[in-house]
Amino acid sequence: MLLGKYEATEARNAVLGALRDVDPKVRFAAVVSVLGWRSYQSVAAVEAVIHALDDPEVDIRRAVSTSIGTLARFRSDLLNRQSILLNRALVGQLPMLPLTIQRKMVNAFLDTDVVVRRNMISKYNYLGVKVPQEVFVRMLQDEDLEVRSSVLPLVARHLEFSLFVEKAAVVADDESPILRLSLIRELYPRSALKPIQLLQKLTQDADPEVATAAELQLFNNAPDLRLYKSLVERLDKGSLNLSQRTQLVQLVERLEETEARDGYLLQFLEISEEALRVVATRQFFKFDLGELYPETLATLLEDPALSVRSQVVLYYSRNRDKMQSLDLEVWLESEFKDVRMALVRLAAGLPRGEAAELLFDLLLDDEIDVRVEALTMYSRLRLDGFEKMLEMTLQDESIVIQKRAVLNILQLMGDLGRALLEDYLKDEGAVSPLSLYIKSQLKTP
Amino acid sequence: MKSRSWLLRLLIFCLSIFEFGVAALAENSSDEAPVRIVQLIQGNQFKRMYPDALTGLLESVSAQTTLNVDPDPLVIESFDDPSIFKHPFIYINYSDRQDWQLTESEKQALKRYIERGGFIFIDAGISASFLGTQNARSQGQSFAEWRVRPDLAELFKEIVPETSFRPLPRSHGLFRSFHVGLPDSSLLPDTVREFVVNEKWPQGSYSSMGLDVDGRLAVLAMPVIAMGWGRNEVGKWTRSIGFRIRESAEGLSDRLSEAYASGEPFEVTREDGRTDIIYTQNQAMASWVQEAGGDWRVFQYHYSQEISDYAHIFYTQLGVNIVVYAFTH
Repeated sequence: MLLGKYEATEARNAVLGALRDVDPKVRFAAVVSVLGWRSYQSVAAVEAVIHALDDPEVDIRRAVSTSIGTLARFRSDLLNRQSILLNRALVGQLPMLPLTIQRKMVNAFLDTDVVVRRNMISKYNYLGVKVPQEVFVRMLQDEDLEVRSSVLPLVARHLEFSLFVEKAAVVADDESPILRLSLIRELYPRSALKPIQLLQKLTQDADPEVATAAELQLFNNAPDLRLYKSLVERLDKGSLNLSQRTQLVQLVERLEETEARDGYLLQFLEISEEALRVVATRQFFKFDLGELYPETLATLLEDPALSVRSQVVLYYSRNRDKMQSLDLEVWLESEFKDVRMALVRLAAGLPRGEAAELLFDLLLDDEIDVRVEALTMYSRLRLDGFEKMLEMTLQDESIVIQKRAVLNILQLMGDLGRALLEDYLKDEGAVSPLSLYIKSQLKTP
Repeated sequence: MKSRSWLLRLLIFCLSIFEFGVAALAENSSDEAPVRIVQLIQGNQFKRMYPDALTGLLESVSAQTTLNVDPDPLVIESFDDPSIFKHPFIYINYSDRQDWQLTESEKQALKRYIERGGFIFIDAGISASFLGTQNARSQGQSFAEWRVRPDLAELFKEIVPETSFRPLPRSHGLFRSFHVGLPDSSLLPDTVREFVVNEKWPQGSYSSMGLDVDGRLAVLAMPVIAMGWGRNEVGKWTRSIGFRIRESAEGLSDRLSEAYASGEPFEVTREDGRTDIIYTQNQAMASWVQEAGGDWRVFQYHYSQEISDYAHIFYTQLGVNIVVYAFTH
């Protein structure tokens, strides 16, 4: 304990030596001391601590496994530093862990102590050791739920899918619904092999949440209209949780029966729950249903939720070629400012004549923000007579519009614009708020 | 550990006759109106210490007790903010105020606040001198000492000269106002458990200094505990906490008395008023201690998920006890 406080090589070596002491109390004190060091002098020193992973004393194994990720990082940092000194080309190509250490690490995954197993599994990604598949598979039946939960995604990642389905079948009988739900999540379609049998078993689960999750995943793997219909019926009865409701709406895309799919989508767009309408709206545009159902499109634009309306705006911002079929009157007459603001931006994608006509209308909008944006867009597009319009706007009743006109004049009309503003100052005098603003802007380089 | 939820409704009723007066009564007149805690943060709120801590604690208070607390504290910048008189509990982390030289109006307000029944908890109001003044170290470690920071002692001596900070006895009601005893320590290593249960936090107590006014605990100062409160959006503790444990072994005391320490020694005040001397190495970590009784012991630093979880549970139950105590006494 005392020597651990010193950085001198002799002191440190003595502490490292104490890791092999016959007295477990001495070994524990040494481990705690070593794990308190902020740096290690050699790879061998780090490895000496890792060797204690199989110490007979459980507190020692817990302490080492707690810090196993940090120790692995210390080791690789030291090796990288050595590589820089020896040969830069070797940086990042770290030598394998010594076999004895690899063995101890693997064994630690199956330690008799649950804390050690939890530590090992949670740090697995930092260790640089390949754990045999059978170890992970065995851990699927660990007595500790945390271990089982942590190892399941690892098994899914490391095993070929058909093998995973076979080995993870035991989890379908796990006592914890959390784990059974995790298993269902891992059974998404990712291979030609469909885990139908396993999912069918899970649809019979005693826990209704698990059973429904299994049905959703079953549909995801093998879309079937009848199954979807029964799930929608349960949605209507309010027996799905939020995550399941969202998943159900997303999964509508898997229906091969186009008519039924569109029918469900239109139904979902009328659900009172905003989050679901957002998902449904995304799907509506994913299948380009805007042209087919213009009335629905108009309804979406009038949706009380901004998040739903935003989906419409986003779609047409990304697909300006689809705008030709739009009834812009609906946008123009929208009670929502965000829709009319969006229309200003979308005007840039229209033929010049149409854009000019639309922006004229928007220049008369009740909302000043819309008028300001319309003016700017009209000027940026350099539509017919924009210079005259900017000049006239200097007389607008709103100072906000006047100021925006000044900025546009300076940005878009060059020397002519500066001259125009200077003339304005001569005519109007220099004391009005706009005159002061013009003067400040003219001074700005 | 037992939870005294059965007491709480009665105690909350007592709140309505709390000295705090009309404002407090008005705020609690509705069953649904949550109690709001005031947090003092001087300057940039985004630079405050442990930003998610107090909200995390208040959520724990709501979840564990029947006390209806607003998880969103009311932030003020100085003690002369009149809103303090509407809320009987002020929380402040010592480092969230850069300057403890209060203006006259602040001193007046603080005096009035205390005299009218207000309660102030100054987190990190105790900080052992060897931890230094930089927040990273002084707020990152909680060392049990029984002496408030000198500037706080001076400030409150001026405000309430008739009284001064005194150590809270381990038997003080604050430590069992809701949670009683320590959390389950079975997963801690033997040496750690032994020290924690018998010396570090006996019966769930903590090193605390209190200022009594009119026979009532009005100001409480502790070594920082906020690091044990914060949770992230998925409910996991946001920080990892280790334990500094005093350990000994046969013959070690003699060796330590002769050992060379590269850093300077620091005095810390013990619960009984005597002093320990802390020896540090060059990284200003406490290395060993010469205790008032003549023993020398070494500090060992223990880290593990179980230790961190245990510390979080304890610091949260301590925080809950402080809030419940303040609102029921």
